[in-house]
Amino acid sequence: MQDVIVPDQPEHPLGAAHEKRLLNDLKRSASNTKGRWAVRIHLSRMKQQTRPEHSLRACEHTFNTLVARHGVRFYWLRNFDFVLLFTTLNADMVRSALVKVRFLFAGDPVVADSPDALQGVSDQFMTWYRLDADYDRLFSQIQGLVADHRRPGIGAGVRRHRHAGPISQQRRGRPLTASMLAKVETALVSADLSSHVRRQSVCALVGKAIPDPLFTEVFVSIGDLREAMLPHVELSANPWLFQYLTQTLDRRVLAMLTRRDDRTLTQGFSINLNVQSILSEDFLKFDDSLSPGSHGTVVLELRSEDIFADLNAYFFARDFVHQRGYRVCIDGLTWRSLPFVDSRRLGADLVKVVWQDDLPQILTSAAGALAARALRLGTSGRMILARCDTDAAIRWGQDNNFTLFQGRHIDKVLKPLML
Amino acid sequence: MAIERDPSQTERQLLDTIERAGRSPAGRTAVHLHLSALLPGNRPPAHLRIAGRLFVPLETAHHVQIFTLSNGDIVVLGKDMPEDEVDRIVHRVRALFERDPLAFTDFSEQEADPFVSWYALEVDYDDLRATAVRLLQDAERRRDVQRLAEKPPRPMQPADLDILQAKLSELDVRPMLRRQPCIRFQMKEAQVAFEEVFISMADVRQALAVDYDIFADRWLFQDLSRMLDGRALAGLPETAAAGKPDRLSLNLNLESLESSEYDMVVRSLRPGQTLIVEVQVIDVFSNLPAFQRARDSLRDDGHAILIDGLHPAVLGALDLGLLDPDWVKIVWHPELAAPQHPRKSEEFADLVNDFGGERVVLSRCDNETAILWGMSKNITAFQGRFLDAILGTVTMSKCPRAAACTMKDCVARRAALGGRLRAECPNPPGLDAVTSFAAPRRRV
Repeated sequence: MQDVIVPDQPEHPLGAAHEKRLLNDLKRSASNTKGRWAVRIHLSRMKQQTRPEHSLRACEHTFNTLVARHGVRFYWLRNFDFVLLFTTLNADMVRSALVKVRFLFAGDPVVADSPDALQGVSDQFMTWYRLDADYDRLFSQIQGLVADHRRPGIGAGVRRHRHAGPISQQRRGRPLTASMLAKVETALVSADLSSHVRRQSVCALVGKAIPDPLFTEVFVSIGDLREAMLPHVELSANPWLFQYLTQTLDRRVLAMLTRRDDRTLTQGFSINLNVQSILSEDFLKFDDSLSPGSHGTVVLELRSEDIFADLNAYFFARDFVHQRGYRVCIDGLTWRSLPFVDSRRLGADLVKVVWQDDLPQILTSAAGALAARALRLGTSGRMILARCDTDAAIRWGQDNNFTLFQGRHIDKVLKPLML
Repeated sequence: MAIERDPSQTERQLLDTIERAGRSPAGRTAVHLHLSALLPGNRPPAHLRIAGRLFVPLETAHHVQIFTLSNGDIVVLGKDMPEDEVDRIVHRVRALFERDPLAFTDFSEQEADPFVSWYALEVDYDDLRATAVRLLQDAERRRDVQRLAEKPPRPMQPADLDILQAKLSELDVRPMLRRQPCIRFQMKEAQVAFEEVFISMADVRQALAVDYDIFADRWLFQDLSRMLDGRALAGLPETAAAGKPDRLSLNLNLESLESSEYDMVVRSLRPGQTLIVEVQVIDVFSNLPAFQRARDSLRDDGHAILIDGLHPAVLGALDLGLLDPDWVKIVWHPELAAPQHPRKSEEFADLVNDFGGERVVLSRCDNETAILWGMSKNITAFQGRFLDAILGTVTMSKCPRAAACTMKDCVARRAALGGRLRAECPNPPGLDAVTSFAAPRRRV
């Protein structure tokens, strides 16, 4: 077993890989369950303070010999639970190792004294599975966990600024706290954001015609900003504080655009905003600074959770910006959120749906049926398929009611044309 | 030293300007938008500021003067104003506030439009001046009251939150736990459907000497609520009255359902007692899979999930059936009962029926109007101060020792889960004794 350093973080770094491996191993032993056992240790139910990094390492270490010499299998789950697969032959050794584990974490109320816990009776701290009886239960649990891997970036944070960098980078570090947020807020006042600002075109793409740029999204690269200011912090681990941070960024981006530091940005662009930011003085200043007649070429991108959080404020803001001529886009919809967002009922002009490689499969599965229906009912010219990194994404999109696209693949196609 | 601007200054300028304009009234017009008459919930400063901004183009193009008054009203004054253009902007402002009765009240030919008044200075000068004088007097009166009153607290900042969270971890919140019944009206009887348990934020603020506005930023408060969840859950099993109701509802973040404190609460329930977990719609949409998992697992265990704090408009904007919570809680807004509300009443009743009237709670019912409106829309479960008062009245009428108490005392003591308030009651078991009473007759 590898000796991995486990920093204080919201997700076990080996969890995703181990979950997949566990699922595979379970599949292979589906027909051979007799005398096989599993036990899941619920470290996730404990307070984070009572399961410090060194205890986790010690815990894993306890099973080293069993894994190396006796064929016991050890898997971390992403939430810091772990699962052991073993047979009746080595059950006693596993039990005695579990005594040590219970001792290791005895400080937490979850590890209450329960006399039968080691004899195969489940309690708050551990759940036992006799695979010849409980195989399906365990299998479906792990299947559920692996199915969740498909979600790009867990939590609201990364969904918004889709260009936050590879997942592997995002998953590193401590969760954002209020004191860090206070420091970042202060730093942002004087920071030069311009080096973190990125652009990406949204294009109309019909048949084999060359992409026709509609507008350019202007956004702050959260990945870059994080690397510069909070290299050891996992922003998406605390969605609420992250949302607060986006409000600060809204103000900074609006101020930057109001100053017109970038003279190429006078029209035909989109920005990410919170509903509350539209109602702020900063937005009104930005609005003043646009030349008359260009408002209609500016798109304001809002997220669904922000909209539903205060629908009344959204309606007011939407009516106001519509009166001023702006267009409203609902940003960052995934196959999960898509069925809930009816752009007509919400009076939005555009919706942006996030592409992911397994989207075609999901939409043909039972779980994706509602999303597939929503796509069929959507108005073709009002839906943007975003994060298209491959040609396959575009082709699928064109077959499925999309005419507007955004993503690295489009950037690649556009680049030679721009020269 | 910063000089504080006199809040009645704009009103004074308005009066001056009108008096000067009165010397050459020909071609001069004034438009007065009565935005101060909007319902309080519909006129936050940001919304009023935006309304004022819509007139800005007139200022530059036609030398029109715009006065944004301290009560929220807007007065536009100019010579040879392009009336069509002004009227168009007035319409736009009206459209922004279309959800308020002020904007959609139907008035007859003889009546004045409650939303806007037009003045031609040649004929209406005296009226206009009188209005401006009244506005100035009101502003001065408000200013004087404000000077004596405490300043509104400043908004909470991230640094405050950090300190607050540290203090909170050492706070005993048990005496700050409160409950509020949700009451279901049936044919003849009204019954306590469940009791919602929450931490009194007023008590928390007082105990920690917080001098800022905790609720100012939604996201910072949401982060604070994660910590409050843990504290409330930890305090709950030990609190006396928690064991009484058959159904208990708790306001939680979805992530708190994974905590050991939550498990402790579940384990402390007596047989047959179930939970309703109330979650915020922001939480639901920030993590849909977590919501779906939580809903299913709560149901499997015989508990239920409720989506809290919905604006009535959500029913029309979102297919709640797809989210499939066991309950939803809609917040009462006074404008709902206004006659001629543009969102047709029948339509709302249909939406309630589609979702299932028995799954809807109307919350923050402060008066009988709310209840009657809800009943006419097929809602049968209600929560709010009006119901607390009814329950208080019934509690007192059944209590042999009620003579020494006021109804206010009784309501406050019933709301407390423990601590000093509850101990003050001369007959504590009486506070839990009433779980049903005769329902008011349904009026159709």
